[in-house]
Amino acid sequence: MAPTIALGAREVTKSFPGVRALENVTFACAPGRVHALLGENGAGKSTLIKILTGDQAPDSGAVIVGDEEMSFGSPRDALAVGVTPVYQELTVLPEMSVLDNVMLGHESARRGVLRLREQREHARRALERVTLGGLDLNTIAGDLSLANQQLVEIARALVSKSNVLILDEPSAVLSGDKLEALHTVVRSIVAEGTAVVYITHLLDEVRDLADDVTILRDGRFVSTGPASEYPMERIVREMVGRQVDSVFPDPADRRDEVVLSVEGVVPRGADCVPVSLELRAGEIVGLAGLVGSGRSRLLKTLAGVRQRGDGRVSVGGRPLRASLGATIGAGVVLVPEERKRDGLVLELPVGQNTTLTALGSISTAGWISGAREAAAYAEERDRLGIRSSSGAQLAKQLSGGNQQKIVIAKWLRVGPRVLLLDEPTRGVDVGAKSEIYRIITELAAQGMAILVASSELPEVIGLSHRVLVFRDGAVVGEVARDPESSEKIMHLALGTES
Amino acid sequence: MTTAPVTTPPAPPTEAGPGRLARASSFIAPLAGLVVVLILAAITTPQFFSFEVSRLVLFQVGLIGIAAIGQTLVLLVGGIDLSISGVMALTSVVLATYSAGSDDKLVVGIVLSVLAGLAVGLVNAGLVVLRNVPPFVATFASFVLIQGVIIAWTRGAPSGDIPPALSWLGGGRLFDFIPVPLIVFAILALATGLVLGRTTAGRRVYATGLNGDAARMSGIRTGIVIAACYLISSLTGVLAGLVNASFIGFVDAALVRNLDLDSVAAAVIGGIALTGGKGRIAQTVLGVVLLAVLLTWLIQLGAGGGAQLVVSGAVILLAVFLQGRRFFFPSPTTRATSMKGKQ
Repeated sequence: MAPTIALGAREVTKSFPGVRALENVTFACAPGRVHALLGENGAGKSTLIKILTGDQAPDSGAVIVGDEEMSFGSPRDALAVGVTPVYQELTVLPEMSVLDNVMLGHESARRGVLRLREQREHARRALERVTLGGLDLNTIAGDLSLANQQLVEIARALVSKSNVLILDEPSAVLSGDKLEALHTVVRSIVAEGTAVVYITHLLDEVRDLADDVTILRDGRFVSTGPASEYPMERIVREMVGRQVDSVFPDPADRRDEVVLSVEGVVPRGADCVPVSLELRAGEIVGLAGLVGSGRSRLLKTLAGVRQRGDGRVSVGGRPLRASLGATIGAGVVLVPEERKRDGLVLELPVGQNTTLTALGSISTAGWISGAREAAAYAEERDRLGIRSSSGAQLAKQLSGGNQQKIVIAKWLRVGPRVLLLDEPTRGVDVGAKSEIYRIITELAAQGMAILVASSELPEVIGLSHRVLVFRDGAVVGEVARDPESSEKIMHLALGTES
Repeated sequence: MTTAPVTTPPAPPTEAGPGRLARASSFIAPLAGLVVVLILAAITTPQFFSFEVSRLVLFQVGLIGIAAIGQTLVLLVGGIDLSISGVMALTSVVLATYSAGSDDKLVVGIVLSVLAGLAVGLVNAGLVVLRNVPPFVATFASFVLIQGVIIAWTRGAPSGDIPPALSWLGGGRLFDFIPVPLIVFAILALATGLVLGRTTAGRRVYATGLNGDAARMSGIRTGIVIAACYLISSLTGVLAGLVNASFIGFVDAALVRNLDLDSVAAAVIGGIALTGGKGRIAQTVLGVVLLAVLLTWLIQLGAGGGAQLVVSGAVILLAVFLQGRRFFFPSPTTRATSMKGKQ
């Protein structure tokens, strides 16, 4: 008889120095069910997953696999009993081929000799299930897009024939048809009796996919039950513990003055149609499109991070040289997509991160004034609602939402005229999301011109005055602010409308 | 945009670590090592604490320390400088060859040495910044190149005297006890510490070493920051070369100590991370003292150059091993991510 609990935790408690990460959390995922594990960043989801997969040992309590209490010494122990995690941070080996990546950890199962043909078949079958059937097995994994790397990783998990698959926020990387494909895979393996623990910030996914829901908040168990008992409002309410104004604030009226004018810009090394657009003071323009459609590339080019191949950009009527220094000097700044890699110096205190872009303003002849630095941080902290223990707290210790606010803060220090935001709410919890929306809307109301690229359609539509849709590096259409326009945007992005 | 009133007490601006406790804890391991070596020295070589030997230790601290200051800067931006010994040898050869021991030509000789050192620094910086050559390879290649140039130029037998007017730099002592090189090192360390901790230049060095991408995208010209560190390292190499040459009084290329390894070892046992961006000058100072005591003790024990190299190498390995295991102050977040990566 099948066990009632494929993977679970009983009264698990885990502390780190100074932090109670999990307190008495109980969790049970049944075989053949998709169990959505929900909570804001910092709610304890990641810690729970690490305990369930043997990455960390609980201080007290037990992990349950197939109705039996287990004690894992390492992730290997968990893999051995069929608990396979697919982490948000990619663990694809970039130098190795797709084949080797998919079969990683399962090569030696055949008496020490690699059976290549059999391997290729296995890999091919797994890849087909994640819609990568057309992929050349010899492709070097590092050359794939982030989304495809994530799918390769999921294919690897499929090969290992696990009883429980743990997906840690796959929608942070996947979108559109790739995400749809993942959902199909999840449904099919669940139908075969596998249990799936699914972590996501997209509540639409919960509605589409989940059979059961468990909500954590501040390291504590809040509630669990079948997904049908969890309408959106309840999920959000229980996750944040307060009512969230999930409606986007209305953007203020835009002004007539054109701040940013882009004519025929082509990123260097890109083979695409030149992009032209105009951005007026106080205007928020959304950039929609599938992952890889060229939104990020354009933003990086406009910010001077990436070289311009061709075209003219002018700010306030003055032509802008295509260099990073000149661009920042002209007040055009980018809040990058890869927050931890490009946005923050994680090992530096938040105060120092905030002032990194404007060291001149807190120093005299190169000598840093501690008081001015503290005042600069305090100003941004109050303006953006940054929650940290002090300006001396390290950036890596903050939640995703607060980290994102630090990145916005450091750019506000230079007094920008044009703010470029790339996926501003990726990996950010629900509460912080609405705060970031409020910040963006307020900045625009003060006269800043803002360009927001996002994979979340409700976000681009809700925030912007108008939305430009990207496909293959070019703007293929413009849609006005209207909640009903999401279908039109999808059609434009996919190229399915003539 | 409005300025909100400041309500919280200002945080110390210079602090790179999470708090005073962690700061103190980073000194514990090297301090403990120093105490252990001092006790061992007291037991095995009682003459270690004599006037002459103490003076020798202080000289070593000065010489190694001067090189370690430049090395620390390079390590902080994620590089390594293996050309320091080369610059030192070049300095003494240039000075001796040009001046031929004449005090009249001392100033010009020093200027030429400095120019030679700057040239090496520029080559290092150019290779690392413009061509993305791994620092280990770039600076080691410079070192080999310099050695080759010296051998070709002097036909393998460098000779000549250092102008006696410079002898105060290597051989001079304050109150007949404190060697001048130690004073030079102390001034350099203090100045570098202030620059790193309190100035925008120091902030740029740390940001560049910790996350070059984010620093660059924040508008910091990371290439210039890195290049400056290599140039300063070459200049401290010239200074160390002048100290060493004036101490000996003549050129003997074979006598140039391997300060590449010693300076790296001193910085790393003090707690400067080889990965860049982590550590303060005070830690380097502590590492320099520990290494100088250790090496002098070995000499007192009668160990040869081979044994000293073995110790320098072993000390680097041990320190890096301990850093890699996060032995000093385990932090849950970093540990968790590193384990995740291994999945």
